[in-house]
Amino acid sequence: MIEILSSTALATVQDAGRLGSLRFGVGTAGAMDQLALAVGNLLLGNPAGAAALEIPVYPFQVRFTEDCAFALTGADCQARLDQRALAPWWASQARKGQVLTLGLPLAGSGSRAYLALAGGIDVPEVLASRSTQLRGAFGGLNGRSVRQGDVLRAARPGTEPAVDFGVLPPAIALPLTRDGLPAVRVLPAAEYACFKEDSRAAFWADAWKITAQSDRYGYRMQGTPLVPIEAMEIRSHGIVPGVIQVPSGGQPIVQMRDAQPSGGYPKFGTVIEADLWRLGQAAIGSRVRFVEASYEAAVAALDEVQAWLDEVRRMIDLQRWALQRS
Amino acid sequence: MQTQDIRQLAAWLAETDIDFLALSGPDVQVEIHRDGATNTAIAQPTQPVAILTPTPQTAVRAPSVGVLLDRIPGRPTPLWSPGSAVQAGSLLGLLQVGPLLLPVHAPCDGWPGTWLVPPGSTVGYGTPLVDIDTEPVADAT
Repeated sequence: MIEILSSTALATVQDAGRLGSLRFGVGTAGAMDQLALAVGNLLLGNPAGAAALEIPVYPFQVRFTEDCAFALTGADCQARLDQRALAPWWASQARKGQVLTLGLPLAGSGSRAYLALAGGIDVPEVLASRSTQLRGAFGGLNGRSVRQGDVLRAARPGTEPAVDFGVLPPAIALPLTRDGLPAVRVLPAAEYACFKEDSRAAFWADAWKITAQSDRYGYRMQGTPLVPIEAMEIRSHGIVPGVIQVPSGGQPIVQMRDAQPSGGYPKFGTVIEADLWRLGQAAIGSRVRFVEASYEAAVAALDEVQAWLDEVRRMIDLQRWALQRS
Repeated sequence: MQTQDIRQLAAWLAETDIDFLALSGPDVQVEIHRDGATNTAIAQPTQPVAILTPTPQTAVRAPSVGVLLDRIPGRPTPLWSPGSAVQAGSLLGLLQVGPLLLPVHAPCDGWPGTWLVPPGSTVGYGTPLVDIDTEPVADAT
């Protein structure tokens, strides 16, 4: 078990997401950085769908109230277990009473850290997921972000032999930048052609700032306004994380994991699934570039991510096998 | 090493085109020869190796094959600088094996010298990486 010592808000229990419930009007939720969640679970030999704690605000502190193996992935917060420095993207063993402290993320390392516990965080499944659904106030820990004094249970506490190793972060293993800025690939969407040509060109050429009005629901971007050829009135329709909508002001909103499942703004594009983790780690105030992609390139990018994860799984399995026998 | 481990190694070997595998550890030495469909495994105790403990220096050896890293990937500075004190168990370096990162820990408190192999190079199991002075080096002046 861990006890939350910080009064900082917004840390939530998240897993791979609540898939298959959009038809009930229930969004997907889930980790903003799915690769960090997946690797955290792999490092501990957890089931792929196990839940972890997503931490977006620092400093953040928890106390282990029993022995428990854990993994930290995502942003490099120069974490310490009591006084001992921990490497990022690393599996470690905590003893009862030890305090884990996460500081401010190092520049360029991401904005969200993930704390995975052995066996996964044991909260009830709701609609086949442990993810916190903030809008509906269910899932995760009582449907809300964690608070000071909350206790989260690990499904497999105790001492584990297969700890003390890590993984090269995907931001280094699978880099994607344009002119020195983090980039994400985007598929043009249904109303793309309804925007003026210079707006379309500016979308790909400009650096877009992630404004302070950005969170798990969506990222409001700031840049050259996107102007439609003529005013559009369209009916509400289904949307998914990654969809880029353009409200009347011309400043696009990228839907993120807590996006509502429908919306009526014109859809300019969609951040490809393989790159959503990159945007999930982009910090408020930072700038990103959008890179035009084809459907085929989007599928190939997803294959590339999967191949990397498969290799990480293979190597971690070998390492865990070796450590469990040593 | 247990019999089941040799069985597992033999099974892995059977899926490759590798004919011969030799593993040496502190306690045992294993050779597996592949001859068509059959594997033969020979395990024998290793000759006792003289362990030198050159006081007041302790050698840090590579715990695995890998590419030596002197810093955590993504961080601008090395984990330590020559002459600075380290504590037993602290992270001196990393060995990268594909996507995997394995720790090189300080075996004792002390003052590491300089890397004996340049960071970025591939090292074998047991390669001496750095010597740690276990007592402060006397000031030459």
